[in-house]
Formats: sequence, structure tokens, C-alpha cells
Amino acid sequence: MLKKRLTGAVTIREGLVVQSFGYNRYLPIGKPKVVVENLDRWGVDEIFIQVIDRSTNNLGPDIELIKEISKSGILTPIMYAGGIQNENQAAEVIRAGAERICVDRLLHKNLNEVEKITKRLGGQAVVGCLPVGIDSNDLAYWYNYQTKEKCLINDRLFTLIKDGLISEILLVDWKNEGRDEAFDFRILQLFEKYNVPLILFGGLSSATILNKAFDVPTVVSAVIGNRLNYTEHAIQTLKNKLSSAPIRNAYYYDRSIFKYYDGN
Amino acid sequence: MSSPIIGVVDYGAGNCASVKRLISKLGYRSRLVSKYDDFENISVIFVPGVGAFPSAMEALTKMNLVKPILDFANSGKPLVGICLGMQLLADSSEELGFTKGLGLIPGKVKALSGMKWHIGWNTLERVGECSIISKSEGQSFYFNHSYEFQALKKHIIGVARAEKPIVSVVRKDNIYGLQFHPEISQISGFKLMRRLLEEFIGA
Repeated sequence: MLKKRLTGAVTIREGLVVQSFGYNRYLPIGKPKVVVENLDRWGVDEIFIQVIDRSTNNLGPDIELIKEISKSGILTPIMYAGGIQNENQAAEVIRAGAERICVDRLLHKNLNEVEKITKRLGGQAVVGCLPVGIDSNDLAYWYNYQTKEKCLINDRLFTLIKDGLISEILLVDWKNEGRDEAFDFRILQLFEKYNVPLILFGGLSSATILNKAFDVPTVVSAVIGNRLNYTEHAIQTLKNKLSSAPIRNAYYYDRSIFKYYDGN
Repeated sequence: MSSPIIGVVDYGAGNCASVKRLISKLGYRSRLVSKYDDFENISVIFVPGVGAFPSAMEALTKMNLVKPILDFANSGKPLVGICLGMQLLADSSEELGFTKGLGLIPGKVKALSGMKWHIGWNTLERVGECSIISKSEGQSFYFNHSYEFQALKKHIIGVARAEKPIVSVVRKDNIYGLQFHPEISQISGFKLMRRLLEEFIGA
């Protein structure tokens, strides 16, 4: 049986992992390689690396970072977001060691390029990231980080999703990101008419709210960020409390099994 | 005698770095293979893959890798396709139109039926005889695909259960295909790769 996934988020800004609060306040955590290695050891199902200052500064994806992380011998699938603007960059991210790429800005700017990426990498490798909020009329809206404006999801984007050019949608509750137990389930209304696999992110921290998220049939993954930085083996602790959800068993592996590995 | 070298085909469409690193972790020498000469002295070949079938076959053709891969497979040495690399072993694919494959294991690659995507961790179930795969039965592996290899029953060794059984491991003589990614399937992938390599070239 296909399991639902518990994904660990690693948010990187200016080369350091940060705790993010609503994407406007940040606290430094440490080196990306160390944080990613911990998540890998603790048996998280997937690691979401988002480098939040690459698109803003037109730097392209952080290929060196992905290579460094991959070189450390990670055995967990990596989903990468940050700075991807064209198919060549997307292919380079995969070649460097990520399994999937996540696009946000391109969904606003250039859907043709998203199509090109899919033709090269396949839709299974492409995730669309949509920051979503709830307005004063209780309606869900798509938020553009660049322009700071609310916007509508156009028909073409829905068509791309329906046609399988994007495999999953990462719905980010951007207002509640970094807050405990705060995920606003009303944002799911944007996709309630569509049978689209959803990844939820923002304000998901406790077993209670994660169980609620996994009860939604279209939710395939929940992403946790800050919470994982507070305690050792946070993944196993959480998974043990998610006994009703169809998830992979919690486990830990000792990286010393790689005794032959010389880092090359 | 020098220690065996494991080749990982690098055709620009796969996450070959992760596969190569896992092989290193297991204590074996490895080499990226991207041209004819690179095949020299290779004992086992892995064909990884992340991408769409047509662009992957196009890349293999452009890089003149099709013939050396076929020659290697026909020599009787072990060849393992991973994810898209497994699908490339088929006769053809319907992904984004018709594309001819390597034709090493009979079958066609078609869109998954009953579901659009098979992404995430799923349990491997053995359906055919294979001592390597039988020890991985019941363990979870990471899958990421929307097309599947519809092979002859006699070549299907393992499946994963979703809406319908999904072909997950195929084998024909010295040629293996794994639909999942052992290189990013944590400890279960590590152990499976170790068993494969021990079987192929000894501990």
C-alpha cells in the first residue's frame, strides 16, 4: 500500500538553515548539511529543501548546495525549491542529487517553461508550490511572494495539473507558516473540485493536526519545518503518534553502516 | 587481480550521483560511464533514470550509448535498470508518444491504470522466484513514476500494491529492472543493493 509521507522541510537563507515564521522573520539554525543528515538518520520520508533567497536575487538554483548534501551520502529522496527558472536548471538540480523539483515563481511567470521541464524530466519530478491564504470573505487565494499580491489560479495552470504536467501541489499556508497547530484547512477549498495530490505545509506540527491532514483523501504528504529542530528523533516520536494514518513505520538508522564510504 | 568496477551510465537524465555514492558506501569501486571506452573492465552496469522516456532514449542515442549497453547486456554480465532505467529496458514506451526502447526485456511501458501517479513509499511483494528480492519482501521502497513496465508474467519478480498491482521488479537472465529507487530508499535500499552486488560479484 502506498504510504502517506511525513516530509521534513529545510529552509535556507543566506547559506544557513533558518526557522521561518510567515516567511518574514527568521532565526538561524545551522549548516544545511548537518540538518539534512539528521533528518536522513531519523528516517523522514522525504526532505524538502527550499532556498528562499535564490529567486529573489536571480541566482538560479543552488547546485553546489545540492551536490554537497548529496555527497554526504543522503539516502532519503530530496525535493528542491529555489531559483529554478528553466528546464536546464531543473535538469541540473536532478543531476546534482535531488529527486524532484518544486516550482513557484515559474507558475506565475512562465508556464511554457514548466511544460518544457516536464517533457524533459517527466511530470513525476515536478511539484507546483502555491502559497495560499484566506481573505476577509473566507475565500482562499493564491499569493504571489514576489509582488505581494493575491492572484487567481488561471485555467491553464489547472489544465497543466489535470494533464499531469505537475504531479503534486504543495499548498503552503503562508500566513501560518512557523506557527504551532495553525494550518487553516479552508485553503483546501481551492482544489476541492480536483482530484489533485496535495502536500500541505505551514502550521502543521502536532500529531493531532497531522492526523487531521492525513484524513483528507487527496493529502499525500505533510511537511514539517521548525518543529523538527527542537528535539532529537522528532520524526519517530511523531510517527509513533500517527498510528491511524497509513504511513511508513518510524525507524532510525546508524550512519556508521557506511563504513566503507570515503565521501567520493 | 584488481577489484571489480561497477559502472553507472551517465546520460544526463538520471540521478547517477546518488547511485554511484551508494555503490561506494557498499565498498565497491565505481565509474560513471558516458562513452564507449568507459565500458572497459566494467563488471556490472547500473542504468539510473529520472525523466521522460523519449528524452532519455534520445540522450542515449545521441551519446552513442545504446550499442555498448546492448553489447554489455548480451555479454551476460549483470545490468540493472533503476526507475526510468528499468523502463528503458522494454521494447517501447507510450510516454509522450511512441518511442522504441532498448528491447532487453520483452514488454511495453504504458501509463499506470487506475491511478495517475505512484509517488512515495510502498511495500515490495515478491511474485516470482528470486533469492535477492525475496529478502526485501515486505520492506518499503521509494517510488516515483506515472508509467509502468508491462512485462511478461515470467519476467515479473516483484510488485507493489496500489489501486492495482504495479510491476516493481523485472528480471530476464542477467538483466534486472527496479521500478523504485534503492539509492534513496534508506536502509531497505542499502540492503537490497548490497545483496545485488554480493550476488553479482561476491562480498
